[in-house]
Parts: sequence; C-alpha cells; structure tokens
Amino acid sequence: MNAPPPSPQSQSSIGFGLERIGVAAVRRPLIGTIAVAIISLIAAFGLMRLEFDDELRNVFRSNSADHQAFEQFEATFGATETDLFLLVEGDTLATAAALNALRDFTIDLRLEDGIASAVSLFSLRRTPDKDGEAPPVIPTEIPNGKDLRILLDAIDDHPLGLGKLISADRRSALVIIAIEEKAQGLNEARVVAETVISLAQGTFSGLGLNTRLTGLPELRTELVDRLLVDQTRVIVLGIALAFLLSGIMFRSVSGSIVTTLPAIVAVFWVLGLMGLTGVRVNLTTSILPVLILVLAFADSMHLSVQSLREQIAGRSRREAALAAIREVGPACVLAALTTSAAFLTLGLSDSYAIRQLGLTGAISTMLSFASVVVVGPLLFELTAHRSMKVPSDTGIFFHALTVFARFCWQIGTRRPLVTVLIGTLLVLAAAWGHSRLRPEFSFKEHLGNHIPAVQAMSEINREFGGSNPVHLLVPLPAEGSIVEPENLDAVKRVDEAVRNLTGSNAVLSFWSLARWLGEDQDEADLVRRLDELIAAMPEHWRSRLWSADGRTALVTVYFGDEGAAATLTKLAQLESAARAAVPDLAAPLTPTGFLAIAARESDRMIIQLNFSLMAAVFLAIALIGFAFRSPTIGLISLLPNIFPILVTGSFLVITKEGLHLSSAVALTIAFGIAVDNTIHFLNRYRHERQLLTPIDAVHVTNSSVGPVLVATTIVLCVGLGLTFISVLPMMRLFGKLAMLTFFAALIANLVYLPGLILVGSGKGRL
Amino acid sequence: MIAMTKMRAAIMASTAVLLLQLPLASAGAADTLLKNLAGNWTGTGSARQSADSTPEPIKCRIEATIDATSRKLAQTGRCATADRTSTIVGEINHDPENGGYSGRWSTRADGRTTALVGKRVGKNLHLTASAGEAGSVSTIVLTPSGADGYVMVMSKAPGPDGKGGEQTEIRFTRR
Repeated sequence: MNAPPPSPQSQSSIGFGLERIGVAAVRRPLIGTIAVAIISLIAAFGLMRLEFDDELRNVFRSNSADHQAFEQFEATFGATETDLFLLVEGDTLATAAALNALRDFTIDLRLEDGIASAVSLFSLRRTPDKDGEAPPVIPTEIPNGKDLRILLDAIDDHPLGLGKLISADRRSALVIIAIEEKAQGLNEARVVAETVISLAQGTFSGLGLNTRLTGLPELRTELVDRLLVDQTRVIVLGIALAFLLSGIMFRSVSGSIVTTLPAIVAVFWVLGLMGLTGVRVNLTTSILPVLILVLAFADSMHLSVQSLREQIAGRSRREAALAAIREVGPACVLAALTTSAAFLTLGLSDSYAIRQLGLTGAISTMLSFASVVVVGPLLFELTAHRSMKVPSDTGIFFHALTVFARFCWQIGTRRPLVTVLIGTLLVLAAAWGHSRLRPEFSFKEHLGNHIPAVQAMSEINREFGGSNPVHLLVPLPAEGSIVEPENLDAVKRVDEAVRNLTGSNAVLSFWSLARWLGEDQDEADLVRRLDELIAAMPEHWRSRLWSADGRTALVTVYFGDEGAAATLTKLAQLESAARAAVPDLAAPLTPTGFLAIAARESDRMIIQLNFSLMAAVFLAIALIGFAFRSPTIGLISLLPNIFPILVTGSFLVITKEGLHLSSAVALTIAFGIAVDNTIHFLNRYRHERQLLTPIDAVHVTNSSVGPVLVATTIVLCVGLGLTFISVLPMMRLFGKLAMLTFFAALIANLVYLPGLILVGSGKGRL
Repeated sequence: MIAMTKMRAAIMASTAVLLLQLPLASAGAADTLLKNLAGNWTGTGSARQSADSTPEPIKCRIEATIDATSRKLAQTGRCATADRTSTIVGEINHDPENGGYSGRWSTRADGRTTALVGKRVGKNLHLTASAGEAGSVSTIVLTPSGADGYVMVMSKAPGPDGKGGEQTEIRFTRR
C-alpha cells in the first residue's frame, strides 16, 4: 500500500469539524470510554422498551383527506377488516358427512371466547314465510346427491350469502369468523386463531378435508412473528459476517473486534433510540438495524485500514488513531450527513410511517457515525495488536481490486470527453427508463406468496371474489328511519348499480335484506317486515348496514388484492357507477375501507417518495458543494449520483416489478449510501490536487481510493446479501435494489466521475 | 344472514340453559343444591321455531360459580345455533325461607333480561321464565339424567295469533 497521504490540516475539513469528537475521545480515553458506557446503558434501557408494531394500518396512516375520511368511517362504523377466514377444502366437501361436520364446527366456534360470530353456509335462512318462520337453507337432515346440489345452488343465489360461502366447484367452503373487539389485540387474536385452527383440525382432519386460516388479523400475526425472527436472524448473522470479513481482511481477531464492535455498538444504540423514542419495529423501520450495521461497518473498515497504515508508517497507536480520524473522519462525517439528508427528505411524505423512518434514520445515521469515530479509534488504541495485517497491494485480494480499479480508470480517462458523452447518454437513457416506472402495491409485497395465510387469501380471491370489504357511504336523503321509501330507494339504486358493475352477488347493504324478504311484495308490507327485522337486529349487524344516527347507509362490496393499480381502477369504476345511480345526492360517494385506503395511500406515498429521492439528490449535491467549498464539485458529483438511481429504476421497469413502497424507500436510502463513494473519491482527489496535476491527482486517487471503494462496495453488497435470507420480500427487494444501486454507483465513480473531473479541470476550476 | 325475527328460540334456549344448574336429586338441602351447580357444563340439543318446524342443532357452554353462602350462583356462558350466539350472564338465588328459587339472566347481544321463578315438582324442577314482553313466558322443565347430566325442555305457548310455540331441548353433561 502507498504511504499515508499528506496531512490534511492545511485544508478546511469537509466534515465541518464533527470528526473532532473522535479526536477528543482518543485524547481522553477514560472520559471517552465512560461516555460510551453511559450512552450504552441508556440504550439498554431503551432496548427493553422496544416494541413491534402489530398494526398493518399504521403503514398507511397519513394526514391526507382520504385517510381522514377513512378514520371518520371507522369511528362511525367500526373496523371492518378484522374478520378471520377459514377455508375448508376437499373433494368430499359436498357430502352430508362433511357438511354435518361443518355445521358442528360453526356452532362450536360460536361458543369460543373471543369469537363474536362464525358464519358459514349453515347460517343462511330461507325467506321468511307468512308466519315469519325462516328455516335454514340447509336442513338438519342433510341429503346427498341431487337434493344436496339443489340446496347448494340456493346458497349461491342467497341475497345474504355474498357468493362467499361455498365455491362453484363445491370443493371449498368459507367460514367467516368475526373476532370480538376485546380480542383484537395481537396476543388475544393469536389465541383466537390457535383455537380456530385446533378446532378445525380436530373436526375436519378425519374427514379428509384441509383447512387454512387467513384474514388481515392472521396476516398481521404472521408479519410480526416474521419481523421478530427476521430481525434477530439478520442482525446476528450480519455481525458474524462482519467478524468474518474483517478477520479475513486483517488476518487478526483484534482486527475483527476493532472493525466490527463499532458497528455492533451502533446497532445497539439505534435499537435503544427506537425504544426510548417509542419508534416501533414495523414494515419500514425494520430496515434500519441492518442498514446501520452495514453502513457503520463500511466506515469502520475505512478507519481501521487507515489507522493501521498510520501505525505501520511509524506512529504510536494513539497517534495512528488520531491521524486516521483526521484523514478519513471528515469523509465519514460528510457521508453520514448526506445519508441523513436522504433520510430527512422522507419527511416530505404525508405518511406517518415514512416520516418516522426518515427522522429515526437520520438520527440513527449520525449515531452510527459517532460510534464509528469514537468506539473504533478507542478500541484501536486499546486492543490493536501488531498481528493485524493491513490489506496490501501484494495480497491477491487487494491486487484484484486494484486491477479492476485501474481498468475502470483507464476507460474513464483515456478520452475524458468521450467518457462524459457516453456517460451522459447513458444517464439520459436511464432517465427515460426510470420515467416509465409506475407505483405498485400489494399486501403480498410484504409477506410473500409462500406464506400459507397469503396463499389462502389468494384462493379466496380466486374462488370467492375477494375478502377485502370496500364501502360506499350513501347519505340518506330522508330523516327518520332507514326504511323511509326515499332512503330505501337510494340504497337500492346504489346496491343494484354495484351489483351490475361487478356482476356478482357479493354486495351487502340494507337492500340485501329487502331482497331476502322478497322485494316483489307490496311496499307497505316490505316496510313492515323490515321494521320487524330492525327491531330484532343486533347492534353489530346494524353497524355494518347503516350509521347509528340514521344518516348514512353502507353498500359493501368485496375486492381481492390484485395490486394497487388494479384496485384503483376498480375503485374509480365503483365510484362512477354509484354516482350515476344517485345523481341527485350531492355528497361524494368515494369508496373507502382498508384495501381502498391502502391502494390510495401507497400510490400517494410512492409518488411522494420519488419526490423525496429527487430532493435527496439535490440536497446531497448541495452538501458536497458546500463541504468542498466548490459549486463545480457539487455539479460534477450530480450526474454520477443520479445515474445509479435511474439505472435501478430502469431495472424495475424491465423486470416489470413497478415501484413498490419498499423499492422507493430503498432507492432513497441507497442513494444516500452510494454517494459516500463520491465523497471518499473527491476527498482524496482534493488532497492529491494540492501537489499534482489533475490527471496525476485522478490517477493517484484511483490507485489509493479505487481499491477501497471496490472493497467497500463488495462489503456492502455481501452485507446486504444477508437480506436474501429474510422471509420478508420487502427486505429481500431492498437488498437486491441497494446492491444494484451500489454497483452502478461504483462504476459511475470509477469511470464516469474521473472523466467529468478531467473535463471540468480543463477550465482550471478543479 | 339469519332470520332475526324468529331467532328468539335460540335466545330462550340459551336462557333456559342456565336453569340446568338446578339439580333435582339433591332438592332436600337448598344450599347443597346450588353448590352442586358449580362447575362447567356443555350441552347439545335442538331448537324449533314452532311446534311444526324442523329442529335445528343448538349447543351451549356454561360456567357456574357459587358464593361462600351457597345461596347465590353466578353463571356465564354461551349458547349458539349456526347463525346466532347468545352470551349470557346471570345469577340464581335460593331463598331458604320458602324453599323457592329466583333469578335473572341477561343476554349480551340484545341486553334482554329474563326473570325466573322456580319450584320443585316431584323429581323435576318446573320454572317460569318471563322475558319482559307481554305474553312472552316460557315454561322450563329440568329432568335429571344419569349422575352428572340433565335434560332441559323449554317450551313457549303459541301467541293469540297462533304464531310461535318455540320448543328447545338440550342435554347437558359436566365438562
């Protein structure tokens, strides 16, 4: 390796002097150690308070008008996505024996604590006769053969069956299980789910029938369980990998400790911070610990390498640590600041979850920096051993990295103008590709298709037309009872419009009751019978049909989760059909419900994240320009840094993935990290430029920083490779996109950036 | 999804279920009688909307606890058909002065309260349940069945218009 570079003291720090906290800690190691211990104790206290967020809906919480309307809806009608769905499947389902078991199961479920109701095809009754008697559609003595087929056909057409209780091929039946409000917490819902599964297995396994449980409460439980397992596994393996990589690099255990412990401390502090500030581990914040581990480890590696170089150059351990902080610390500060800035731009989002990620991520990045510049050098001074080996040019690993970096440099600098032109054309092409990127969202994005509950949900979508309620709020024109003819007519028109639009029976409204009673009868008679029905109706049924104040009726239709784009199209059609049915009603008929809000909010969030990304780019560029006191350097760093984002966006277009929520977050954060390469390159170029011509400075920079950048990128990619073992698709996607972004950033920094510097230096400004 | 107008049979059945806590064999000692009611019970049976209608399956699960004086039995539980659940909370009190039983139950679903008055008739216990509506009175007969079981039959006379006449029969055993 080359000798340590000249002291940077003659230049102003690009780290705004923040690296001095490391210097202070090394100069007063006792105070530094005590400070680290105190912060760690506070973090331990916070860690004990760390919680997992079990509410899927929190991801979509925002201050948008749509979400406020949804909150108002839930305040009026209660949550409607709290049902569990049990799928009972098998070739022998449509037999008297199996159906008897299904009926027993339905009744048994209703006796269990925590279950408000269980509805199966046995819960349907025939239209009441003149005496008001309404026998069950399926009688106590269940027939076989043709008679049974006729009965099951009646279930299909039943106005209150929603076409959801038995599939067309008669191989699947659905039991819809409403959970009592008191049992909707995570642990209570888990007990209810276990009860349902146990009862189902006991009832159906001997009959050759399979059962699968799903529904949002079940998906939520799966998600929290997997988040917990995922976090533990990824962090533990990440630490092990960091130890291994640093051990290989330094061929020493103390090298592993000096390099890895600051990253472990950083993760510990970040988790403690989350616990102390009440930030829960959820779908978005679960990325943070892995990210901080990777980020801190990469910076720590830079510091360790530099410290060792200084020590080999003849300095004492303390002086070596101090010199390394002065040399690499400013770049670490600026890198942390740009990453923080990328996080902070997430604060532009309407989404509470994204804003929380942005703020927590920004603080965490700075905490990570503090750990790296304080804990790393302290450890180096206390524990570094002569047995640590600096990665050298003579090592085969570093030799390979140097060859690659030199190859990139030769391409980039042989004809700088051509490099810049080709690079710029590539940026434009990637920009065109990125512009074709469209937002996409689906619950499957978060859990993955291999999860049984997700597979069961997909089956329900296929066989029963979906399980996600979407509600139209119909303002009732007449005051008084809902059975006022004017009110009944408004609900009827919307109900029929929705029924015609969807072509299905899966519509529930007050008019469904009228259809069940027999809509062809005399109006006065119908009203009388509806009044009787209302008098005997439990509150939780009423709340799914109209509001307590009698001013709003609900028309509910069920959608499958086909992704945000398809859902938004269907919602627009629904709204349009409803408006056309009741043009005289002035109030908006905007469909709402969890799926509707998830589709709208995710769409909005993704678009906002794209804006955040652009803001992150310009903020980082401005920071670089300011830190280097050179607007030209800021401008030059713009193109190599938007290139990786545009390439990754184009990749998403080519692979037809669309821009998912996690992709947008990944791109923003990955940009913040990728810009580090540029900073380290420019930092060294700045040093070299004091004594050398631009071409020589670029050459020396490439020789010294290039291999480290390649190594860092490999370390980052290997570290992010850990996300591939995650059971959560979002984490895996994040890892994949971040790796692509880092690789594109590396090429841009080793090929495109040198070209840009040389072209720019032609005017003497660099 | 259910016929709400005619589902009172299920409610009445679930209400009457609580009467099973009145064991007949030990009627000689009132405090012992209520004490014997404590425990967990399950029941299965059938409910009819009217004398002519087809019986529908019904199941119950009741938990009962006795106080220190053995004169007051608190009961909670559920009864359900395939389309209706009644969550019941109630109590039965014994009056040693007159040897009679009285009590009340309320169902959480509709808040309906049923008043009970009971007396022994031979080996059986006959009770009257009044649901608070004019004419809504049911007769309940409990008959011992084996060492740890009872059969409850509840019937409601048809109204003046000839409608109604629900009948419920449930066989209970200790869990």
